[in-house]
Amino acid sequence: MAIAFMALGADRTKSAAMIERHSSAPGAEVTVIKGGDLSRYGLSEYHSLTLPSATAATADEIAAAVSADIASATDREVSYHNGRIKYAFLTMPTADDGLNRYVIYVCNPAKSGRRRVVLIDIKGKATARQLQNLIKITSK
Amino acid sequence: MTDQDTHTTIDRLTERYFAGLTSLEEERTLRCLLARDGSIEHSPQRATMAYTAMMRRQSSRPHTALRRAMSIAAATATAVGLTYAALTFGAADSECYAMIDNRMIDDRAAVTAMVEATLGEVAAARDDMQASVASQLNEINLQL
Repeated sequence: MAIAFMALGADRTKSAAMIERHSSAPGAEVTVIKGGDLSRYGLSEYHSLTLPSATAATADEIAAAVSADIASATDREVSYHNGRIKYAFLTMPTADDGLNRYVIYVCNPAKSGRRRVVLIDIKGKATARQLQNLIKITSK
Repeated sequence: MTDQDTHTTIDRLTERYFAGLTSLEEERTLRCLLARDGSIEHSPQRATMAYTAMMRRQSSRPHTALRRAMSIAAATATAVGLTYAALTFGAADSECYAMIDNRMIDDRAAVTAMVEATLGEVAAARDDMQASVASQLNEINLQL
């Protein structure tokens, strides 16, 4: 795993670094899917982090990384609420291996002033439209 | 000579070479074929021949000592090749797992359910955004 991360290090997004950084935080839910069934959907890597009850500091740190990715994204769909990013679907510059790379972020209020944060890093041949359709179909 | 013939000849001569049976003429042929053939599968042999050529330039030791050095070089090149192949294979291999609060879950159905739930949140957030955009466009439309 460490070797894979080193190999991918050169073209990682800021958000991908955040997923790795907070993957062992209390209550963190991390999903890693690579190859296998993903290829059916034109994807090669799926890496997600859900923090069901992130502190304001953690949520702000992740939001800052997403903001940096928004700046370097080639295509973006972003919504803000009260000055904070609520949702972002970012098409990042093509990875070193020629595959498309996407960052998806969702942040909603949780109990006691905390926030529920979802951050996903996806890589594959699929276009943004194909990925959005896949999300729509999968979530139903 | 076709590519297939070249590969067959390289393999045959390589086998004879490491068995110490090749003539000088056959060794010359092998070097020429390897130089022309760019395939990855013959990289260890190519590395060995390059090493041999270097040794030949640096020293005039007897043929047997050279063969021993070549065997070591061949073994090293093969080991490097196998390590590279193993690492490449490992990177290409599929993975599917989840970690909840540092507890590993490798049940594919459970992981799939988690992915579906996560994508559901994404879809809901996107629907909210689209509804908001539609509402704003509708307001603008009413003003026109």
